[in-house]
Amino acid sequence: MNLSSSILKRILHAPDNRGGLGGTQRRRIGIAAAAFFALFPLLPFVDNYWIDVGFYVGIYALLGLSLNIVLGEVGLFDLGHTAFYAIGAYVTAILNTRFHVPILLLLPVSAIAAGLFAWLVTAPIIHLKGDYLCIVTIGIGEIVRLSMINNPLGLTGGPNGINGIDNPHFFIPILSSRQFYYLLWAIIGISAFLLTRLQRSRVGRAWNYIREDETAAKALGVNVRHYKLSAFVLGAALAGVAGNIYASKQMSISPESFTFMESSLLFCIVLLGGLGSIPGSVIGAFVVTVFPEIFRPFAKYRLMFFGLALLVMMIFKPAGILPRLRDSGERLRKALEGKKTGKSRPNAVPVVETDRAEQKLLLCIENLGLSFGGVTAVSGMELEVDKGRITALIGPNGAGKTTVFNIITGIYKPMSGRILLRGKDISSKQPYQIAEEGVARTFQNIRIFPSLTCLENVLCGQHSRGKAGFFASMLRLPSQRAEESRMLEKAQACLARVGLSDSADSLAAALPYGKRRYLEIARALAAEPELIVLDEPSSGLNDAETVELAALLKSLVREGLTIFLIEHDMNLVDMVSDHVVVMQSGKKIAEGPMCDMRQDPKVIEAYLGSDED
Amino acid sequence: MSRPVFFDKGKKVSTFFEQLVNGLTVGSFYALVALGYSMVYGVMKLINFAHGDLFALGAYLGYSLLTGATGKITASMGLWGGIGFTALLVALSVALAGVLVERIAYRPVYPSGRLSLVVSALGMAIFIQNAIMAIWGSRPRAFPASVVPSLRFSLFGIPVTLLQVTILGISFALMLIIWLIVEKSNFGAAVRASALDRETATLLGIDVRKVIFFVFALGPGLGGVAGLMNGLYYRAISFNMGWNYGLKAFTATILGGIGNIPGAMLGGLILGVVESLLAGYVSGAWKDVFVFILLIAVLIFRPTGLLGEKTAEKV
Repeated sequence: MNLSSSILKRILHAPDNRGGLGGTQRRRIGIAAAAFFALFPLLPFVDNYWIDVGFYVGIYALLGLSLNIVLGEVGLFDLGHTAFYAIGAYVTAILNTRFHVPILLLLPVSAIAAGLFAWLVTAPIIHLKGDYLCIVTIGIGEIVRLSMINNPLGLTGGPNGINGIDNPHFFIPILSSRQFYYLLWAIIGISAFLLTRLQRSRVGRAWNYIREDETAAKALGVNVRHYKLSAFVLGAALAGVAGNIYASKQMSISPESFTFMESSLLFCIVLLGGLGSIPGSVIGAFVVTVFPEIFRPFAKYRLMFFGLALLVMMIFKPAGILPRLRDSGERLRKALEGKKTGKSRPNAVPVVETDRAEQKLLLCIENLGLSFGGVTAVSGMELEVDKGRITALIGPNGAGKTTVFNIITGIYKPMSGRILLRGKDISSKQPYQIAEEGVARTFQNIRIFPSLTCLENVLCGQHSRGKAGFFASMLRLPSQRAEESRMLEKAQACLARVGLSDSADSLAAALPYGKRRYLEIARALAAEPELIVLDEPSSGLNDAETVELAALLKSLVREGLTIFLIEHDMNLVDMVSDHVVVMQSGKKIAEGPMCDMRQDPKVIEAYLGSDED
Repeated sequence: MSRPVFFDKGKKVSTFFEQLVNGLTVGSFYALVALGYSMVYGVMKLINFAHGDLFALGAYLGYSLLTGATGKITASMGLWGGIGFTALLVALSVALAGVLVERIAYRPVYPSGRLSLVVSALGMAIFIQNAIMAIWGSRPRAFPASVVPSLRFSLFGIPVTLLQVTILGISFALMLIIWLIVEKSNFGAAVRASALDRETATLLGIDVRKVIFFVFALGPGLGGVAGLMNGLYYRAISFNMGWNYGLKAFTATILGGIGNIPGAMLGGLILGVVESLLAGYVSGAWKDVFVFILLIAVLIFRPTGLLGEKTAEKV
């Protein structure tokens, strides 16, 4: 079992973006599926019962799409998504039965109410990671369901729920199964269309960066909190829409429809279809709804089979039925072409160019201190980085070098001291703000986004240089198109700069180790930084590759960049650095040109230990 | 959920100490179930969603052993012999089920990542729940009334029932044994080491597969016994009781600090007592809502739980 499954996995899970069904094949299947869904209720042998099944496939598809935003795009474990669906349904039911507000008018109201609720409950807990967030969402789901049962202020009707909800009225009253079917699937079509546009935008990519590596995303300018919250709000709003339509179709709702089991089903829909895949969510909904219907003759065994089917799927096809295909650079460009694009403005880089001549000092660290639970990592650290030079930070393991980098880039907050960038204190800023200020970095243990293409990886750097938001991206405003094509150009130029143009469309996970380092550098360059901070760029490279890297670093400095690097390879430090700072036990012990450092007794002691030991 | 039989006497006897003892009794179920979640999470970093349903399986197996033809056999062993025999058989069978769950649902899926594991865990939970329904039916079942004689007496001035004393006795004995195994034995050290860092533990010669086998036998075994005692206490059992108990027990796990063994026991007992006092003094209907709000508050203000240690993320 183990052996066969691992072989199968290798076949299905080839680390190739073009593995499985190709783009064109998929588009054909997609058109066929759309035609099927459009014509299905008109087929002669389809009765109202099966049209209703089609309607419920649609409800789950819409819910799947909504959870996919949170779980699939951003990777947030949400096992209480039904809460938002319930809020939508109850808002519709209460306002309709008490105040006779028309159902279709309540559609946006339900969406806004569910989105607002999501914002309120997730804002205090959005910083929680993985399983902890998962548990909180389960808690939220239960709180909502139990509250509905307890009938607060007599609003929710207790365990029996609310009856007598109206039908929607869209020029004509929508009554029949067929009419409901078309109303729902039209909404799904519009949602899927808009979500696809979001996926191919700065917003959708930011979501994916967070899913792939949150730390790297924030260090490169993604406002992680904002994008996580917005995913929850948007996902909840869409679930609220599903709740509205469900309530009016059923004409009655009760807490029984919004259990933890429903949330689990939604979770399974997204994973069955494929994480982050829009057609996948629809397929997942189809499987989850139609499977138990087909096995209805087996009545009491059908859910048992369903549980087993989930297991089998996860063993043999863990990536889902229709895993998300990443867009190639060509595809991204094509999406922008066709219509007139807006005026291309130069990128707004907040770099003060005026006093470049006078101001030599770019980064200045004063009396920096940080300790972790009594262990002092950095204390009283002083350091200066001059503009247009390569400064190296060296020192034995555990000296606190990476901690200094993490403080500069805002990942850690210092307990004492200041960090001045161009004379401005940045020590209290968030990582994404520091990236916007013009500081980009790479990581010691390489943090690329493995399941995105190299081009998409590099586009992350450009995130902080753009500003297109949700509406601009969904409506493809001219300004957004212009920005997007500028970002693409810049990203491609940065890939070319490190010699990775050929790999633009392959997944980052497929790159060999040495090239991943270059990909990280290209990503940092795409942020159009003034200061680039490299954490052990040569580790894992052989001698020839190190020489190549040295040449690249030198040429970057010639183009006006300032480089600050941590390095253990003294050959590289020798080759490139203008200035060397030596650190030990959280403090600076010496600085100067490399040749002087080799003779400094304190430096020698730090590396080799003193005679008295 | 039906309330304990001896409270249905029409009179208002919800003194503080009675609520406390009732809370400790329910809390000891949570604690035993929470131990299973915590041990599995420690080693596998997986929320075993099927665990609550294994608890329900324990209750149903106990029901079958105490009723019908088998009920006559257990009855012939006398009160303590019958209960001991039933508990042992339930523990062994649910432990076996736990090991099978790991083999079938988790081991083959482990390499494909945590999200796939969540889905296969949910799949397993749905499977077990519906298998119980297929075997025992969808209507609730009732435990025989007088397995433990309904004796009431006063212990240090606090009114208790023989059933409560029995349940608390068995639970605390089990928790003590687990605590001794985990904290004092070599095997316990292996479990703790695997929980801290699975790779390093493997490099140091610990057979992590054995550890996984152990936690998947021990955790569900304890959960099964908790299910049996829950059946004796509340008498009514239903096929989908596992969801709710599982969720509560998992809340207890988080409360105590996930992956922390004494934390799971403490979390379970605290949760049981808090819930019982809320039901007695505030509102029975809203108690679960308060419990989940408490859970969220703990996660906001002390995300590692009461006994968990803070760990810094390495960048």
